Formats: sequence, structure tokens, C-alpha cells
Amino acid sequence: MSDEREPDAERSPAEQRVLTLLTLLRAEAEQGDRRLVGSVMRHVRYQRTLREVLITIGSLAEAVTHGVAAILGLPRRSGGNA
Amino acid sequence: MCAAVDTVVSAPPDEDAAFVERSRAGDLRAFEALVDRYRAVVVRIARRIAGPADAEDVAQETFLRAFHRLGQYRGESPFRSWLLRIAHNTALDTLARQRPSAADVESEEVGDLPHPHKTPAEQLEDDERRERLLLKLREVQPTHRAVLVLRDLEGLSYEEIAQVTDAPLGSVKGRLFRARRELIEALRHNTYDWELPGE
Repeated sequence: MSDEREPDAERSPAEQRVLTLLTLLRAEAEQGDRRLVGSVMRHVRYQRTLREVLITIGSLAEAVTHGVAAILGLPRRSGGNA
Repeated sequence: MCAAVDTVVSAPPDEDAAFVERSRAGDLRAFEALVDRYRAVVVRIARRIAGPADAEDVAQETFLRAFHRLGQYRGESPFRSWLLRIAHNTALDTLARQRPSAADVESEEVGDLPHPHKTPAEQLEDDERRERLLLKLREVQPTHRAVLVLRDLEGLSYEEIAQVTDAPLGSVKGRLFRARRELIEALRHNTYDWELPGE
């Protein structure tokens, strides 16, 4: 079966019938109500808040680490090989 | 020649781009507007690819993934295509995780469509045909079914389907051709009379 065939160019009677049947599905009522929007936005807000909290905790932990290192006189990690 | 009916929600690209920009800047109302604009098409696609039981979850996951990936959206394709690509991939991922038997036994809930020119009996018959047809559609191979849903039910152009499915144009046409053949075969192996003519 070739991928080059134009599906809409040459239709058999059976294909034509299937397309007619599919109009039944195209006429379906609209899906997805406003509850979905509310649910998505609740998750978005929750995940965004969680992300901000985690970032804050990470920043605090980094600051505490640096503070303790400074008090103990430990050298700060440069992150490089030099 | 295009027989597909354009049922896809279309918004001016500039308007979408503005909402995307505002969403990236942290304006959740802008993202909410995008969710509201595209919820119907995302749920329909999710439902027809992954099945009714998972449609809402797939739609929600689609929008959450989109929100977290907004920074990766470069605007090279319309926002709708980008979003539908996420929906398509999420639906196929979900389908791959499903138990094989779950889709087969599940009953499809169909939308209630009162038609002014039809009697209640005719309406009931239409609903039954729609339900049977949806179940038959589930027998088509998922990647083929996805293309059929996008083309014959949602009315996307071949070029947009190629963007959504991340497949070459030739493959899209091949998948659509095979999807229709598979659906014809599925309908032939049925006691219900679909009035399918011979080849």
C-alpha cells in the first residue's frame, strides 16, 4: 500500500459511505464543559505555588549552607576545576 | 478536494499569541482563556483517540503539559497545532497504558442531540448508530485512528495533521487511507446493517 495515494482523490463507494456515517460523529454535542477549565486552573495554581515554595526552600537552604560555611571558615565551592 | 467539515475552533493567531505571551508572563487569566477556547476540541480528540473514560484526564494533562511547556513554544506553528500535538501525544500515551480489554467493553456516552426534524424514535436510532460507530472506531489502530479523527471528524488540513502528529505528509495520507480501510473492515464484520456497498 503506497503512502503516496491521495485519500480524498479517489474514493470507493464504501469509503464514501464511511464518510457519510462519520457525519453522525461530527454532529456530536460539544464536549468539555467549564468544569474542566476550573479543574485545570486549580492544578495550575497548585503546581505554580508548589514550585514557588520549592524554589524558596532551595534558596533558603543554599543561603544557610553558605552562612554555616562562612561561620566555620570553610572555603566556598566555586563549582569549577580551577 | 476536501470533504472534511471544518469543526475546529479557530482563533486569530495574533490573539492566541497575545494570550500565550501574557501566560508566560504569569497571567493565569490569559492561560484560562486559552483553556476555555480549546477545551472542546481537546476533549473531543482525547475522547475519540483514548476513549471516553480517559478523555477528561487526557484533556487536563494536555493543558497542564502545555502550561509547563509554554516556555518551549517558539511560535513556529499556530498555538492550536502545538496544543493539539500535545493532546495527540498524551492521548496515545494514555492509550498505550490502558488494559487492552478496557476499551472494548466500555460503553460510549453520546451527546444528547435533539434534532428539530426528527421524531424521538429516529433520534434514538441516530444515538444508537453513533454509539456503535464510536465503538467500531476504537478498533482502528491508534495512530491511524488519530489521523482519521483529526481529518474526518475535526477537519484539520493535511499540513496541520502533519504538524500535530509529527509525521511527513505522505505518512499522514497513508495513515488516513489505512484508517478508512480498517474502519470499513470493522463495519463489515458486524451484524448491524451499515449499508456499506461493495468495492
